[in-house]
Amino acid sequence: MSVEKMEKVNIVGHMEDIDDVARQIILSSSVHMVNAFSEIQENNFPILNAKQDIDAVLEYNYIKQYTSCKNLPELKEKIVGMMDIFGLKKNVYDAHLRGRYSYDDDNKDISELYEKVKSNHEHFIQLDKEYKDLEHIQKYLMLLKDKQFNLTEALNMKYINVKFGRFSKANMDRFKKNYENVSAIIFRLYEGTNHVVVMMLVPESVDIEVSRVLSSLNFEEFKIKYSFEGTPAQWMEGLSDRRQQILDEKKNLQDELLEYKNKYASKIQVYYSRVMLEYKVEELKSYIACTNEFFYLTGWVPAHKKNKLMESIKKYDERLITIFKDAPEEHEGIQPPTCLRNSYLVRPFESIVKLYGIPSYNEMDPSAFLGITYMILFGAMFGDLGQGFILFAIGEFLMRKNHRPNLGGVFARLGISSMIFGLLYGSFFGFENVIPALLIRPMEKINNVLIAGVIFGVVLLTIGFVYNLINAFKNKDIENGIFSKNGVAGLVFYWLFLLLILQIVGYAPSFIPTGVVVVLMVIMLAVILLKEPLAHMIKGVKPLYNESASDYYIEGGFGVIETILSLFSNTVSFIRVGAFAINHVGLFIAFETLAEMVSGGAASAAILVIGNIIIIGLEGMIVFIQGLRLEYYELFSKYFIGDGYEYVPFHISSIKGGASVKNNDSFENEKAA
Amino acid sequence: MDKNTKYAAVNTKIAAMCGKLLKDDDYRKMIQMSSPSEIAMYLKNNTSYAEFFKETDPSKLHRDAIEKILHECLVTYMDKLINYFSGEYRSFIKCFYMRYEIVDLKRIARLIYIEKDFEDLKSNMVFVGKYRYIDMDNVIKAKSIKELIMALKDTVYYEYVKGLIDSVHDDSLYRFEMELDRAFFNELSAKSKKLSKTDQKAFKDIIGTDADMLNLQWIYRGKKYYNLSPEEIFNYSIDIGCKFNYQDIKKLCYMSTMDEFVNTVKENTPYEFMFKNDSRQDIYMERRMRRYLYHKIMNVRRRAKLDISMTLVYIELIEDELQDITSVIEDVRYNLDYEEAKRYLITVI
Repeated sequence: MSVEKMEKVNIVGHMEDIDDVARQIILSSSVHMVNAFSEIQENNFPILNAKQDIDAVLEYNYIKQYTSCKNLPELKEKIVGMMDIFGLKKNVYDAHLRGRYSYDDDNKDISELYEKVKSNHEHFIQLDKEYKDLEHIQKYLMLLKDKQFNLTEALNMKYINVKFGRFSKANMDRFKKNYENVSAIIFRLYEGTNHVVVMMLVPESVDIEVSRVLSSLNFEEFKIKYSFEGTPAQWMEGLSDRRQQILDEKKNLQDELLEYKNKYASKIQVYYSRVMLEYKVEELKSYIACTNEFFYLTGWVPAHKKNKLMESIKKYDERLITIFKDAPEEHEGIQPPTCLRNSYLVRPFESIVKLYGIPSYNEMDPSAFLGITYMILFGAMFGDLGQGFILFAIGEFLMRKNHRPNLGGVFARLGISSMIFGLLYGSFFGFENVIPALLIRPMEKINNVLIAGVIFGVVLLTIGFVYNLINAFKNKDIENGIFSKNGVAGLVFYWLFLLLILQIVGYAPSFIPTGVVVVLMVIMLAVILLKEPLAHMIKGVKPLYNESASDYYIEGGFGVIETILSLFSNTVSFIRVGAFAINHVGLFIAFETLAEMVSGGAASAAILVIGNIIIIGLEGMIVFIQGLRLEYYELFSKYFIGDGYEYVPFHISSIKGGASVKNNDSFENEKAA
Repeated sequence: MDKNTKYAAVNTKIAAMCGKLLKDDDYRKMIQMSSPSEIAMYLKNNTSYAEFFKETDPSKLHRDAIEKILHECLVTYMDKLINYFSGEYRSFIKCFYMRYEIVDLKRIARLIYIEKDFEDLKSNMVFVGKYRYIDMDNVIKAKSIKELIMALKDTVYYEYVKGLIDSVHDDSLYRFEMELDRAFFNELSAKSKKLSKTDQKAFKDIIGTDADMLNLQWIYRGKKYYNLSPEEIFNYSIDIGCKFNYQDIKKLCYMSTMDEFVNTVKENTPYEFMFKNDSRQDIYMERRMRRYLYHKIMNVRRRAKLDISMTLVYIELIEDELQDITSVIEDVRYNLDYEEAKRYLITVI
């Protein structure tokens, strides 16, 4: 419902455990890391209790940032190389990462394994490279294929060098301006939008000079390393033969290695998972501080994940010092990250809140309020049983097939809300005669619908005020909470304002005379105008104004006018909820009329179908946006600031759950054997 | 868009910002100070730089730190300007960030080249990644020019420097730097072509003059110190000049002797001040160039036209000012006397 409580965790441990601890932390995916080194420098790391481990305290003076010494890229290259040659999928499996293992052993093992397939792998790479080079050569040959000359002989000329390559367009222009001074013959083979491909004949004797000129023009030379016979056209033939040959050779190599593959595939897969984890471990370590013996690690943990974290590092517990600290104890300035936690119903709407901003740690999480009201607003504006179901179906599809849980989730929920309102309005794919209306038919009681929209708006705005009051109370912000236009003064003014209107229209009981209401309103406006000096007086802060008094009152004066206008417009703005409900019916009536005018069975059916599609697509989108507008502009501006930052626990992404446990077992057996 | 709506606001803003530039008197006072931290104190207490020094203790600042703060000011000032522009104009103004970004990148490249370990490099990089997507972490981690180039992938620079990835020559640092500069001028030239006709003229007038002088300086140095071939000199010259087209530049590049070159410049161009044939010609050349440009932009500023010129004027003025403050700090640091010190300033005091 609200922002999850955060605790700061500080861990001190022995350097030799760092890898294991880091792995467990990553797998528990619960810690939002903070750079320990800067924390220590700013004296935020809790002073250690000397009784616990005197050495760790002593070493405190020699703290430095951790620097990595593992050569992961090389290791990864080996594994990925083996995976490529065996044709294995590059997935990370959770099951491979459990249990204790050491990086050094793995490293040795992988290197040994790699030695066995090394020659094959190198050959494999070499073939790959040749294949790519040939592809490149072919591109050049395509440009030359109509020319009748012996390319092989041309390339082997003794006193003239043939160069191929490309210039960027700008450099080619520059080159052109100076042709007469360059001792070379240049053929332009191809001119693209950005590049020019050229062939050049350069006399051997001036090759060095020309090369220097070329490199100053950033010439990308392409050296032809393979040779075939005859004209470019003949080269092409020879080249495609060779490419086929390479493919065959690669296949043979893979077949040769089949035995190895059967034997080691699962093992390699395990190592792959581990290396990917190791990358994360190194990333995590860039946040730690260390001495020669100890490491210091710090981060944020939401309360509900605390146990998970403790569980995962339990094994090392006696060798670690773990200190938890509540967030509010923290010094000012550094805010904890925000971890939103909401029920299933409103969870997808978190993404809509995040579009606007992440709530800060001390703010109320508006997701629930937004989710529920947004659903109601959308449904009220776009109430239709059939069309709502289609939205729901689209949402479900996005969620399950396209893996877009947020967008899909929002769509599905809006769809359901639309269906409920469809029942209330008695609308099914626009037809008003299929199902009975449980509540009201918008088109028949236009005034009531519009007024209902405004009343709903008043309720929402009031809740918005309440949210702001709670936020202000949490932050002990008197100025914003009591005196500002979004605080108590604003709320009282708003209700008096409504009362006044009702009295003028003659709906409201006149237990308070109109004159009193007006006087009270003026007082409230005065309070809003004087919010800063009043707040400062209560808190005893001096001076009363942060800026010069005249500036303050000019700005405040406009602020008061703006308050009156905006409260009025914010309220009236909700009339659109009713208007769109009517609009929705009206749009369909238009299509229905069209369909009747055509008066042909198939044609009018087609018009009705197209009409429905347009209504869902176009009106659905408009309503979606209008609803968002009401939420963001009319409501968020009242109570939501959103200057927090998101809680992102350190975790390894795209991890596959328990799969290939079998493989893992066989691997363990093998190791035992 | 109408030029009034486009430039009235930004020119007013610039007029206000120009009012905050340092006065001659400020320089006079600063030169006579005895230590960089005293200058920092002065900047903090008496000038518009106050807000940038707000959270620092000037007495503890040394040269590096002051320069870093000054660079941050530059970014802040540019940020203020850029908000007045949109679309093509915005991306044109953004090009000027490149100028400083390149300074940072060059610095990293040089540190890599001399294999120096660098601490706190990240916090010293003020510009990198400011307005273009540059993967800061990778740039900082780079251990070789090759890795640096790889880290620049997906940036505007990559096209220019990717040819150097496999380069094994000793001159790869030199080429790297030249290509970065080329990237800046090419981008600037391409973006300037999207401006309106009058704005292009203003651009040519100010930046073109600068480019002319840079070209002359480059040809001069290329011939005198680096012994480059005319082709190379020509290839690295800049295209956006005001007084010279490529044929003029080419002619200058292919002059056979130094005297011929200098005489041609003296007779046929307004830039004869660059070659006064005194013993300090090379030392003062850069300052003379900046001073010439300074007078030029002061003229432009007086006219205060409703076009891009005022923005360019401000960009150059603030650049001059920072350079002058840096010079003053160096002057003080090396205990130059007043007369000597003021000669290194762009501002005439």
